[in-house]
Amino acid sequence: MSSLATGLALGMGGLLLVVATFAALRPGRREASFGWAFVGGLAFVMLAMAAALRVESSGGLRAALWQLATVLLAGGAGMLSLTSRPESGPPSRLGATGRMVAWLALAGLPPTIGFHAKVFLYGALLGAGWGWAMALAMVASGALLVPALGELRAARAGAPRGAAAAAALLLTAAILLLGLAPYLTLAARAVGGEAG
Amino acid sequence: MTLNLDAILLNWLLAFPFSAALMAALFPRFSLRPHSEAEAESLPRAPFALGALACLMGVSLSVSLLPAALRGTGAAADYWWTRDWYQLRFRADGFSVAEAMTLYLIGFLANLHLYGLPTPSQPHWRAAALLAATGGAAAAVLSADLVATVFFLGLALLSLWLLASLEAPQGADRMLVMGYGGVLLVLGGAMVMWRLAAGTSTEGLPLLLLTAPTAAVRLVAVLVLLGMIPLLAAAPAHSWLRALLRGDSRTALLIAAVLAPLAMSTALRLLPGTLPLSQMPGLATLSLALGLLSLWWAALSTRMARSIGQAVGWLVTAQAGQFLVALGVAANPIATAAVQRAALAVPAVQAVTAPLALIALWSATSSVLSRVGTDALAGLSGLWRRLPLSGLSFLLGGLSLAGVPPLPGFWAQGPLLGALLREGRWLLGALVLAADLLLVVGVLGVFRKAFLREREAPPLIPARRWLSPQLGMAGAALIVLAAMAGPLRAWGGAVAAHVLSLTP
Repeated sequence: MSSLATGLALGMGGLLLVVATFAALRPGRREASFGWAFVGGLAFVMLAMAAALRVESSGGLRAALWQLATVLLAGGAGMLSLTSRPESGPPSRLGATGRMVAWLALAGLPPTIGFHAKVFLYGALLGAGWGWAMALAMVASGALLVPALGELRAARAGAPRGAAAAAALLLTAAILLLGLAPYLTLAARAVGGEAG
Repeated sequence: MTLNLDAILLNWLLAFPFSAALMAALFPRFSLRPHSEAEAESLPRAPFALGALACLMGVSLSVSLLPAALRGTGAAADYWWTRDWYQLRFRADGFSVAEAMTLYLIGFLANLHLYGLPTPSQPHWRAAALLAATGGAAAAVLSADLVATVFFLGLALLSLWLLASLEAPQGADRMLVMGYGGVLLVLGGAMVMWRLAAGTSTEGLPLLLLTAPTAAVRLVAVLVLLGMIPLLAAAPAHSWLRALLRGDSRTALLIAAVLAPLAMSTALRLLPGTLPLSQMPGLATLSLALGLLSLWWAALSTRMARSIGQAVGWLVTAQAGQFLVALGVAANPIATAAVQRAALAVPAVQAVTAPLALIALWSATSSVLSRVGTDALAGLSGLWRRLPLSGLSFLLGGLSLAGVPPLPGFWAQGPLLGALLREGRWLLGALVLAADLLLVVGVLGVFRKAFLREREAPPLIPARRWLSPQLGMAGAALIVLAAMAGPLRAWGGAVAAHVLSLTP
């Protein structure tokens, strides 16, 4: 039963990741690329779950939780910018920042939470003995930069207003703060004089 | 000796903007200036004091590590950052101690010339972000924490992309994609190491990997080395530098000079002891070929340099060439133990001598630029009588990098040449020696044109007060180090012996 669940999670996760990455790479509407990147993020969660099912000590559960948090935060921040209407005049800083940070998180670049999620995911996949899956996940992460850059250059960012602006600000800040968390705690502990 | 590195890391991060300010001062024409002098004057002084304090603490901590560094035994460092977050601990070796000391001394010098914090104007802010990220990468390299190194390399790449986007968006995007590929490869290598450490370890990484299967170690080395190639290529490859610096592209050399030691540190940390050099497929041949190419190219280009800054840039490249040649010699499977030891001592000694020589050279360049208004050789002559300290500093730094005895650089090159000749590797020895001689000719040629040639001397601009003590300090440091040939050789020998003793 367990091996069936593992196989299903791994197979579906891997397949979904390949399909979502190819779909995100196709030129098309900006919302569609981001949507497929979001789906790819969920496929990463499935791969992490598969690793957790295969080897409990692989850290797959932790990776799945971090990746899920990444997908939800990035999805929220990105969609708030994508679905808002662009303003005339200078581009909205909040919209542009939220959109860029969301893409970076989905691709796993620092200083976002996505980087740590990917590190945990790669570690879990390797721990489960699936080096090939780690390589696949890395290629998919790198490939996401292509639609990300295309979208960031081609389209004007939306300008969230009111509650949407507050939510976009909160989500963007969360993505960055969680990305910097290990290094912020470093500074805090050093200032507090806590022994290592 | 156990040391919490959190204070050191915090120190280094705090000190970095000040180091950036020093670079701006040393390279008035081709540095990414965080701000102008006028802007600096209007800034509050409190942050400067904080930075100065941070650097002083760093210097004190580094000096406290000196005994371990001289013994070559290394110091155990407890990186709680790594332990808490990624459940890994590594052990600092003697080389990291030397690195820490060099960096903190440079940071300390930076605080002698406090300028201020970056202005929020976009290009400068982005440049400052890049410098801060590079500083973070340096700190992470020091901590021997590969995941943290990857984090900061990625951050530096992103900052570079933001900066480059101002001038050349398409080139910047290509650079980001290519560089991220490199980041992922390095991360892949780090993940394999993490797995080899079984998630938790308190062992030093080199010791840890001694028990790893050869195939896994090869995989790690190949991934990391392949990953560093696009990362190193990413920085200087773009046209935004030229636009940002109004036509002067020498900053590319500056960034390469910053990145090269980082890559060298990583390579040194990974290669010796972590895996027998001879296990690396094709490493010896590749390293030797690239090293000889860099060395000869740099030697010929120094000879043909049209400005002092250009010559200094090529001397930096020559250093990288000498490092690669030494690595190639050490990695040769048929090399004897004596040759291996001499070759491995080269980068260890270089790590101490090259920064000092470069500070002397850059100080001399900066001095000529600020006093004459140009460093182009066509417009210079007869400076020896009017700027003797600059001339002396240039001569000492240049000849040291070329390996002329008794200057400190000789203690990196001399023993290697001696070992090669004793082993009967005449051709290689002759090639390296000839390149070194060509470098000497290049340095003397630049010196003659700028300082000795009798033509109408250009008028001098009033001096900035800090330049003379800086030149004096840089030159004096080289002379003092030349007098410490014994400890320097012992240090290089101890590092090499330590590295070789780790080979399974």
